[in-house]
Amino acid sequence: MSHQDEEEDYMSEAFLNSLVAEEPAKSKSNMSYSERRRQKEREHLANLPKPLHVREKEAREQGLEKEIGEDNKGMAMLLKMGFKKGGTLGASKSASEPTTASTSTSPSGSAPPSTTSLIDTDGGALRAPLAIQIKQGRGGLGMDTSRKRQAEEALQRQEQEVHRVFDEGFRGQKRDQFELEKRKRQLGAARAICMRLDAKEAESRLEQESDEHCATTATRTAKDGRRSNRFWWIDDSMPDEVLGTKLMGPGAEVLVDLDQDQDKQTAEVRAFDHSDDEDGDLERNKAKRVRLDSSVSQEVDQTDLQDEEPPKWGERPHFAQLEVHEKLEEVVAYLRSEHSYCFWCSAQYDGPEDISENCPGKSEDDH
Amino acid sequence: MSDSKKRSKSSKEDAPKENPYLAHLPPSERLVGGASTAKNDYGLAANHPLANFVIGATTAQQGEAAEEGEINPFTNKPFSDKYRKILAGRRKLPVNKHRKEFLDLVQNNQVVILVGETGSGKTTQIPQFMVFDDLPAFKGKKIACTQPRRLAAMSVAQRVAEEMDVVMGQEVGYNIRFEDCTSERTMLQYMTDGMLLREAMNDPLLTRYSAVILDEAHDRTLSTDILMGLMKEIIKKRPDLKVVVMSATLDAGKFQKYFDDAPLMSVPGRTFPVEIYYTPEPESDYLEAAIFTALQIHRTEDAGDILLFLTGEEEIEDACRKIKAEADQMPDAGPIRVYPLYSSLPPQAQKRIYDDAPPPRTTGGRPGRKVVVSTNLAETSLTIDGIVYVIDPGFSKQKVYNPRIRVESLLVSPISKASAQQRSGRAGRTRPGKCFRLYTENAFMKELIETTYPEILRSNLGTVVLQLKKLGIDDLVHFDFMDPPAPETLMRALELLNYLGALDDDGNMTPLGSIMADFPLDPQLAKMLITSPKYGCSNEIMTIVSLLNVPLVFMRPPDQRKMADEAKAQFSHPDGDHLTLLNVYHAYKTSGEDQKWCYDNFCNYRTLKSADNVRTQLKRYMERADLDLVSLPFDERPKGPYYTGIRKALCAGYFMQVAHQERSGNYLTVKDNQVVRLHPSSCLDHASEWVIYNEFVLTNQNYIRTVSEVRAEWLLDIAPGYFELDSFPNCEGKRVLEKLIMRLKSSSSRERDDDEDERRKSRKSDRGDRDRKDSKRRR
Repeated sequence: MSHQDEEEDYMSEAFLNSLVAEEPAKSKSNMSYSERRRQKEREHLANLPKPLHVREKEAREQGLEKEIGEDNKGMAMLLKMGFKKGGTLGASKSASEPTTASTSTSPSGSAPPSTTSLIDTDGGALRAPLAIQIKQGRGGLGMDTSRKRQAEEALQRQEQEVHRVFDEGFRGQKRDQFELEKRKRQLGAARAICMRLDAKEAESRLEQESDEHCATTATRTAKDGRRSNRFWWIDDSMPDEVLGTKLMGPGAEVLVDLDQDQDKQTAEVRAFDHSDDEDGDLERNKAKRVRLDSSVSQEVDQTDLQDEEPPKWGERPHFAQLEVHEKLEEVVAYLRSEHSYCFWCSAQYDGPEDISENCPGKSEDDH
Repeated sequence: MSDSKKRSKSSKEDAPKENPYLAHLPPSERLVGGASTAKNDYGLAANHPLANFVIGATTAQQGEAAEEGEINPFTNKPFSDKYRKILAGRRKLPVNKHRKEFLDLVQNNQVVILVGETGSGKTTQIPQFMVFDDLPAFKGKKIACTQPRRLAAMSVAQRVAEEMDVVMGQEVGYNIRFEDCTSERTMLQYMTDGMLLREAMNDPLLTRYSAVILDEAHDRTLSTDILMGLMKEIIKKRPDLKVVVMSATLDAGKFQKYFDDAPLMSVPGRTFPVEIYYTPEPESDYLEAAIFTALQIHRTEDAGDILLFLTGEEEIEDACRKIKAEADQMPDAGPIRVYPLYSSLPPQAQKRIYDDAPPPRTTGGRPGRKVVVSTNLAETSLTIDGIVYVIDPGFSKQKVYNPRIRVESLLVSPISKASAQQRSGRAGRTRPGKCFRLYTENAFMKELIETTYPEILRSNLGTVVLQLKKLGIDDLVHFDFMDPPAPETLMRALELLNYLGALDDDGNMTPLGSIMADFPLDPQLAKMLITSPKYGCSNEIMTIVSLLNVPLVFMRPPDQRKMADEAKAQFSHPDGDHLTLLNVYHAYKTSGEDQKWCYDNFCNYRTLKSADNVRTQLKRYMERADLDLVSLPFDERPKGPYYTGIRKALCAGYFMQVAHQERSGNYLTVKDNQVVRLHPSSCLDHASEWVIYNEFVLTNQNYIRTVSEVRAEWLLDIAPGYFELDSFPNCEGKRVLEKLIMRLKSSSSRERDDDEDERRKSRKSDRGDRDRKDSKRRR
């Protein structure tokens, strides 16, 4: 039997031993990090020297629990005298009298809970020694039990509270989070639309007034842009695609001190590169291009805007301080009034009259 | 015995006259008109007050007539005026009305159970009823009345001697451990229950007694319980012996059953209704609540004294101070006097509780009030008249014993329902009263046990087992205990006695055990004393043993602790508390047993005096047992042979109470591995690897008290059986002993003592090495 040489017989001891040896290793590797950490902590605590009073108490409790065994000389002598292990002492006759002080006392409160079970029910004789209770402090009679009860109640309340908070809090939090994410997405989309429409408008205007002076155009663009540029202000909550598109917004460059902040900007863009949003890349590329284009008019813009006191970097304008849903509302309102575009219908109407007639309403709920 | 012979002789003479109502008695006792017999037998003249008395067949009227006569029948002297005055008071006692009933019962039954509430007069009157009926004086016998407490035995005997107009110690006397105040003339003897048990060892049928009265049986002390078991045996063999069991509480049914349905007689006390008040909520501090309640009563309630139950001396003194201080501040309350009451209080101080309440400050002002703050001493054994208000926090100090870790301690524990009822009853002695229970009614119902566990369930049985063996009771397993103790408790007792050499492996008593049983001491102490001549220090051990048998010698008043500690330091011996006790005794003797010396040195004069008395008694026992009284030449060096010999002798008794110091600094008790520390009162001044201890006390912490340093070599030498390492649980001490045994085996025994110091040094450095290694490992 050749296979027996390769493998241990499953009846053999070696086989069993190998199993046993394998098990702990396996279980250890199976443990998660926190399990291992907890186990380590436990081991550490167990190895720490305990305070004297704790050791005292432990030894005492252990000692009180441990019945005197048969290796005890007294036990051997008692057995020789006719004692039967697990029995009680006393005249056998007394076994017919169940009424003794000890049996009728089954104190439910502070008294040793083990007492009742220790007492032989038919003889009233003790099987095991009376338990020892050490009173701590000067709490009145019933205080300890009432304290214990209160502590138990408090613990129960606390547990319930934890459950409640978990139930409500967790779900609520999840719901809010979901809502927020949704709003953010909508805001991003609205901003993108806004920018596109603004840019389109600016382009068409450029084409229209190509013969006019470059500087005035730039100024106008900036002025038009300023109406909406506040929506593109960089903001923590802004999704990366918005961040990307922001840079192409007309006037955005004006507000950004490019010399200092360009690096930072690109760094930020790069930081968002890992985003899996496909549109983002597209938009970003576009943004870079637009920025390069508009950088020509940079100097003019700066001089022109000096009296307008542009908000500085880091000093957040009104828009940035809004909550996400408020931002969304403003963007939607802007689209509606400036471009006759209804965000909820995802359609551009021909003019204010058209939108008021054909669009169901201003809010999402209307749609 | 001689008596029955005499009587049978006389019955033959007057053969036909038998009283038909006495048919249940043995023929010798059925006689009618035994007057002439009595006269003949006892040699009484016809005009003697007791001339027409028939033993065991007197009537209440006869007895009363004799008491009201001119001549004291027992001393043949005329009664004094004081006697008559007391007699008038005695006639008013509740029990007096039941004299006839009692005599009927006791004449017709061998055992009678009597229930009488405290203050009914049973303790003083019933024995006298017995004396007039049983006439022990004319049979050459005595009546014994047992009391659980020494003090009670003494004070009751004193009172009864006055009531019977006899000299204390003559016709009426008392016999307590180390103090025998009786004579040959004694016919009524008050004694502690332990003393009667001791007498039974040498006189198993108690032939010296014609009747035994077990008083305060409700207390269920260890000795009373054993005595009751013994009485059940004795009455079978002695039909002429009368037994009366007296109890103050109403659960006497248990006694009745135990004594095979003996008749029960109950004497109602003079009681008034007591209103009981509970607190609505549990108290967070019972002591504070008790003080507050006492002050509240003082301020608002009508005249009437207050009895407050607390647990211990310290607590009581504390409460006394606080109540006094607060009450004196109250402008609208009357004057107050506060008295403590606990057993270690000197008798004079104890008697002050009977003082009257102070009068009001101005006539017609708020009444003065007496407050007694007591342990459960005032629960049943002492009666204080005038108590109207009782404050009961629901705790008392109770002895506990656990054989598993061999600890015997006094612990504050909740009382029982029966105790609570007894306490509240104290308020209704003179008029309707009030009882304030400082716990909720719910706590009363649910947390209190029905009755307090009898002492036998809470005690070490070492002494009892030795006594029972001496009494010839071999079958301890089936001994008719009223409440059988836990088997493990008996195991420990047997184990102890076996290692001490008092019992052999089959549980039979050895000659040594028989001698040990004769000493009124714990087996360990008896063994120590008996073996002390071998170490040449029996005089010294005698001193130490007597000091261990009295309350603590050192006083430590709360306001002078520092001075007291300094005073104690002059006596302290570096090697332990036992030798310190010896030093104190020697100093006391050197001072000429001077009371002032004691006062100056914070020693308790009374205690030292009684220790000296105990020592005298022990000396008598030693002489009786033919043991040498020897001393080694004094040598003041602490490690000299004088002190070493004493410590070795201590080991011989206490080798089962040994603790070993661990590397961590604390001690572990040998075999039980309990973590303990030295009691702060110990004067052991250096870390000692091995110590013997007198007591393992349980408080919030585990303490060993009264400690002396010993050497492992001695332990191995003295008790090789106990230090058999196979029976040791794993511990440092075991490893140390193992090493030591190896070393002893390898090296010859010579020069052992010379090596000692060096070896100790090496052990220390050894230890240091280990420590260092250990710390390295930890790092």
